Amino acid sequence: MNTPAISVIELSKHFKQYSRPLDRLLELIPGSRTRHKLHRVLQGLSFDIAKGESVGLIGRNGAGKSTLLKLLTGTLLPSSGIMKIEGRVTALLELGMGFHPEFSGYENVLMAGQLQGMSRDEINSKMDEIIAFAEIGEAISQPVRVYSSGMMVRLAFAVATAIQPDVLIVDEALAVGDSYFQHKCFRRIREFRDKNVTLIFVSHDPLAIKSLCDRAILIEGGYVAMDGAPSQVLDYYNALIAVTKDELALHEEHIITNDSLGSVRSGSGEVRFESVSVSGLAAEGTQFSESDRLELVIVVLVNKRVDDLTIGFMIKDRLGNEVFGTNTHHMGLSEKLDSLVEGSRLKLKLKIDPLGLGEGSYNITVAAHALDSHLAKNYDWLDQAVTIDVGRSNFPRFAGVVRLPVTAEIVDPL
Amino acid sequence: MIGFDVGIATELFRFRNYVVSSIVRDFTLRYRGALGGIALIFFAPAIQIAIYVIVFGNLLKGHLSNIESPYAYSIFLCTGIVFWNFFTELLQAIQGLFLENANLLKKASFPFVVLPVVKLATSTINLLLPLAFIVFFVVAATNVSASNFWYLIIVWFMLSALALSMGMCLCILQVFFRDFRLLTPFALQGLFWCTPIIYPEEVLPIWVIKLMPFNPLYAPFLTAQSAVLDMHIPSLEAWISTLIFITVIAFGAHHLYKKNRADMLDNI
Repeated sequence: MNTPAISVIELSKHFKQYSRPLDRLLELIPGSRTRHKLHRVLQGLSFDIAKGESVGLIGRNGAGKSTLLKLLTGTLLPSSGIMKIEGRVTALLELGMGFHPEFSGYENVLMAGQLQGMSRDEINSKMDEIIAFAEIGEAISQPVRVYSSGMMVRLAFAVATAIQPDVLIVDEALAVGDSYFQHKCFRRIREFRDKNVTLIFVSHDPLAIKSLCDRAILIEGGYVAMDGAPSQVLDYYNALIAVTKDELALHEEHIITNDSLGSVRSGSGEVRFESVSVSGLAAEGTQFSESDRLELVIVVLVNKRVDDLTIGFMIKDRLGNEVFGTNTHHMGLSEKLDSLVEGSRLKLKLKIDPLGLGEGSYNITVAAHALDSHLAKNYDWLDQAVTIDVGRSNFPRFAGVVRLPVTAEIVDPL
Repeated sequence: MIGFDVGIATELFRFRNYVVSSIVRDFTLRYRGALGGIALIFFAPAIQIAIYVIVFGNLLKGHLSNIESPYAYSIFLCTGIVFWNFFTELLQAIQGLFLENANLLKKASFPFVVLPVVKLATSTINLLLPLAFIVFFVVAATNVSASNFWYLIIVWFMLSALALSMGMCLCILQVFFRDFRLLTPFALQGLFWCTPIIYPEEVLPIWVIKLMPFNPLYAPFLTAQSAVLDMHIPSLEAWISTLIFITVIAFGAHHLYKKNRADMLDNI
């Protein structure tokens, strides 16, 4: 454990961005000004990874995780800094991309193995094992173009992991194929880990990180934001991704930029949401517990008088499952909303007490529409207007998303 | 040599298995599913040569001074075309290497130098078959001394160096400016007619002949054709522009590659 398997010192990566190709040409003229913008992805990362250590990389989308993996693999070169890796590196980045469609699985396995510097005999000695692991059977002699995407990935994974590397780099892109094969892949990764292979693993799945890694590194804005035990780092990360009040403004900006796509905000605009926020009695920011009271405050601006205005919300879990939703129509507020004149503002306060949600992250979508459903007329629709985190409470624990009114009694022995 | 160091040699050795199977793969890929198989190597040049012989045969026959053989123009032409095809095939293969292998380069970290070596080998094999055919014919039909054929190896070497260095320059530039992919065929067309390949230089005006030594392709083609026709073989001076050109372009390619390697990987 004395010499680290991977040693990274002040590693930086930036990409040059030109607004048009001509700028790149003009820049070649001696003495001309800089015409590119630097997109700084990684800014001075430093860390050591010991031999046999398994490290999880976490961070938001665009934090630079994939760039770091590509640098470690050698498919991208650093802009500055030093990077030392001991031994043979196998990267499971974009599996199967190097396969040639016209050649058979067998020929592709040969090529892929040779690309890793293996000899024909070495590969042939592993061939049965590879075919068995990929569960590809007779199809190995068929051209790869007739393979299903699942077969391709299985074969690619089998080849890539046929020989034990010193360092294994796994991107979460691995999460393809059916769950049966995923389990198999994880088993193999675990086997390598147990054989003292250094593992670098990128995932958004906290469970996978916690179960596979002894250490986690959080990358945020191109820096190492935290480096430590997985549970600790994940907690910090969860707090980070929970949208705070300050970030709400930013979030809204984001929503507006998405306007043209119509995916996040939609609606005809007679009524617009001005702000959507949450607050709670005991809670701070967007961090709640099951026992807290949640107040959802919605401010709408009526641009044009509309009939039968209804405002509704829907709480969804992290995976997009609808947990609970209702609207002013169902709650009997229709008449009060009907009388709104043009240019008036309305502040609507919805209270949920106690919140009653299980631990996890949720988001709230709000909508302004006519009558009891948004199918009639949709004035404004804001997907994922707020994100909240529900943590542990002093209520008795339960599993699942929402508490049901359950009681238990013990009937005397029968 | 330029751009050649111990690192490259060891890399090549480490990936020798990959190099060999890539060559085999290049060939099988080209002729897989084609009924004609390997005979197709001859097919395209044969048609090309037939057209030139029919169109220019009579016109140019008398201009091959001091050669009596009735096959003189055909041999002259075949040699030129076969080497020209080698040169353009290699150049175009090299210039597309980086972009065409983007998938591979993005996925695995392996030395880029492996790829041009593979292309050089496949183009050379493609050259060898028709060239062997020409040599066989020349030996059978004329009395050219066998030692002349050594010159063909020099020609092969020089044309390879030209195609590799020019191809690498274009290959690097192409990553940033895709225009080059479209422009190269026109440039090659121009070069083709600017060089005495299908016509003997004697048909040109005197002032153009005087300019010829500045064309880096002039010496290789003249040497190849003189060798097979047993004409006067150009001296070393004729090669000066070729050698200077190769040196400058190879240095340029090397410099461009060193300087832009990281950017190239970012851009594919």
